[in-house]
Amino acid sequence: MTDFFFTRILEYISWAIIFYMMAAGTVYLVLFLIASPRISKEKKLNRHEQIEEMSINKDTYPISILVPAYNEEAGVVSTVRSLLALNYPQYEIIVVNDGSTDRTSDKVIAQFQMEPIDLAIRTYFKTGEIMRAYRSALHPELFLIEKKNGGKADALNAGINFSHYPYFSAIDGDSILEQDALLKTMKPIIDSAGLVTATGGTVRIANGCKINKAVIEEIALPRKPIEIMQIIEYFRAFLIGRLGFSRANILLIISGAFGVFEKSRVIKVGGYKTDTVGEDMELIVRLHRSIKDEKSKQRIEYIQDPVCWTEAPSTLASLRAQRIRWQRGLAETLWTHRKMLFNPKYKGIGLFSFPYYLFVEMLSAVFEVLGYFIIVGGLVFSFIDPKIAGIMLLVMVLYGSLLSALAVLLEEWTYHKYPTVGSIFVLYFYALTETFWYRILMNFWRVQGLFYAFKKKSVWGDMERKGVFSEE
Amino acid sequence: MVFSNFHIQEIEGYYLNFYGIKSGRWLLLMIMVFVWLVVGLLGIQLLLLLSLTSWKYKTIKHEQKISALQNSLKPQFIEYIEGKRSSEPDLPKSKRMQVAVMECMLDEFHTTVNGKLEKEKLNDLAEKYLASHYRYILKNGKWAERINALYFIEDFNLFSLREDTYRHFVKLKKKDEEFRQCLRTCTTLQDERMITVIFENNSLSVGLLKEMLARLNDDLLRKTLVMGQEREKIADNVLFAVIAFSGEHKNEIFFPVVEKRLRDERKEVRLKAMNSLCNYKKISDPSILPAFFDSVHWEERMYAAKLVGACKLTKYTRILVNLLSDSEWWVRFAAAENITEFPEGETLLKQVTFWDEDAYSRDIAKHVLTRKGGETYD
Repeated sequence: MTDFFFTRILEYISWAIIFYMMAAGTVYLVLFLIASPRISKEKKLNRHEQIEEMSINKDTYPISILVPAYNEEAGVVSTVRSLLALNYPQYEIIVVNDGSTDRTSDKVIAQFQMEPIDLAIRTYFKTGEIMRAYRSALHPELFLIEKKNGGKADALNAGINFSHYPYFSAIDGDSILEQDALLKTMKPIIDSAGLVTATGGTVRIANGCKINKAVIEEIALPRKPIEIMQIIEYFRAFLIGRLGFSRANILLIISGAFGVFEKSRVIKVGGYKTDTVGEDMELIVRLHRSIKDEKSKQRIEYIQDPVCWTEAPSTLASLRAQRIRWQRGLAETLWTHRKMLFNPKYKGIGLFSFPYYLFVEMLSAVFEVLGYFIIVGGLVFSFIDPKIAGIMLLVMVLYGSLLSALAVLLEEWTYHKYPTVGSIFVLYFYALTETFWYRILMNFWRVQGLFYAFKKKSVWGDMERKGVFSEE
Repeated sequence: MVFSNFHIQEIEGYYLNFYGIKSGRWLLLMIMVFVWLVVGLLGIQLLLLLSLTSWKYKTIKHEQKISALQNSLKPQFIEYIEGKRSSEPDLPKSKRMQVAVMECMLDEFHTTVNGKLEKEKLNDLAEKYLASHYRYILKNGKWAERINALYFIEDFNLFSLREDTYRHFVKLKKKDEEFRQCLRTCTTLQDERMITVIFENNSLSVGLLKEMLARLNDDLLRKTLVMGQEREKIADNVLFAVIAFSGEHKNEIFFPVVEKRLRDERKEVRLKAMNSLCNYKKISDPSILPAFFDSVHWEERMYAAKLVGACKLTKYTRILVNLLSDSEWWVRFAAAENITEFPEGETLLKQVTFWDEDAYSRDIAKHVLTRKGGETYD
């Protein structure tokens, strides 16, 4: 009798988990249905003509580009070089060395002939002590400030204090921008006459590409499976997830790798929060909150153009560290702003984005891990019929891979950056295998991230760099 | 197939025994739904893969064909445009290919060719091969195609499409990229009706209005000025656009209008006028400036400092030095930065760094002396 009830309860839980996962998948499918008309509409748009005039237009707001750097000696020179080559009428680059223990500063100083300058910084936020500042003798628009270590958010706040232009862009020290990236990202801000207060573009993975002097010369797929899987994952996250949310003005994330912000709005909300590892998401949520509190019509937008290339973790250890950090950041942000959850005052943000990030992005890992235990345990101890388990597994595999396949489809539709037919087969193949290994790993790390969220400490995301942008 | 009839009967038997007849049937139904879901998902995925690969294959082939055609035709067309060749090179017979090749090629030439005769030839080619296509696209094309057509109509100055473009503009209801580009194209084609649009469409952004003004020729600009003077009230966005455009283009027609606005009762208008005069780098009556140095609005003090530097009004140097102690950082910065516009400016700032009693002044002077690059903007 007890066995019978136990088995039955387990089976009901299994069904509940399966239905939960199907519901989560359906939300993604709905997002795809929201995103795809926009992509379809814009797929033939001439992107070059679209921004041609902006490069000489005086209304293209000057912008300060902040490059927070902590132990980025492998890629910082390439990042700066790509920024110096940007097609943009007026901008300054501020590298903020946040107490690196490697040769980050030395490399920048030597490469760009940096000379010391005196400072009279306008202090919007209190930050770690700034020790020295430099300006390049070769490129007057390039600056380097050295400060005591305080974390990425602190470095960004120091960069905002130092910056002189009304908009700023934050870019990771291990990323490079396409030449027209700033123009494309600023376009919604200019077209809306300032109604758009922050924008982000699509971030792509550079692993596998041929890069010469900070320019992507040939786009190709990497060889390592975990790198390929991240490419698919990025397609799905950006082309389906973010575009879908952006269309409804309920976007909660602009990638920390690259985004553009209206400085006055960021100053108004108090800058980056220094005691979280998810400072990028936390800032966006706070911006939304202030926009809604003020009943302002301002928006936060995402553009689907691929504008920024970044180095993805290529080892399991660094990928694990990254995902734990992301999950911690997500949990911390949702907890900090928990008052927004289901709060009609915050409209779509409170009623859809927050529940989505809580129940789908954050808790889905918990449900899935629970599901693994029940399925494996059920099969081992014969609590669950193997046939049910088999069918569920197939549905999960095919449904999960269908979403990835749809993301590959969107990429091919719009940008088809990967130049061979073979690349589609490779991406499809890996999309099919995702559920068997990659998703399992991600879910375990995400659950770990939730546990780590209780330990509060702002740190830089240590990542073992291969230095795909390195010029040496 | 994952489940044969035998399997289904077997499962049915299992569940009927296990859960009883009612819930057993329900579970069976669920399983069947999932089986078909698996089949459906697999089918969709295979279909997607097949269509995607064939689409990609075709796209790559098409791109290669156009690229090869362009490479072979480009040198011949360059010779034709430069007058070294009397007849046009032969193009492929397919209209679609003709448009694709000519659009890419003319767009490239458009940025490289400078001579008047060459430009005319380029324009003739665009009229011959592209105008009728764009006319068709404006009527029947999709959103992105129509915008692309508008970009090229503007780039190639296809005056024969002026009426078509205006008619298209009138039909537009949504104020999106297509609307904005249509306005730009209409003004590039010097459509006089756009002057009325400028004054009557209150929702246009200052930036877009400036872009439109920048496209109008002198004759239409004069008509714009006359229309502006005839109107009792002009919307703020139009006024701001005219003021900013005038300074950025150093437009003499509008200079008196801009200068008059220094006495406007609205702070925003005065600031815009001061900013515009900074671009003109001139002011006919500098005696108005001292009032701004003592303004309660820090923005006015800041722009006054900028105007002194831009117009090189050395008699106000002392006032700029005093502004180095202003309570507002931006005023101090503008004052220091504009002192450097004077021949003796750097020497003066160096003296400040050593001798000035005010710590703010000393800091800002040091900062500007060493920082230099990247001028301020606020």
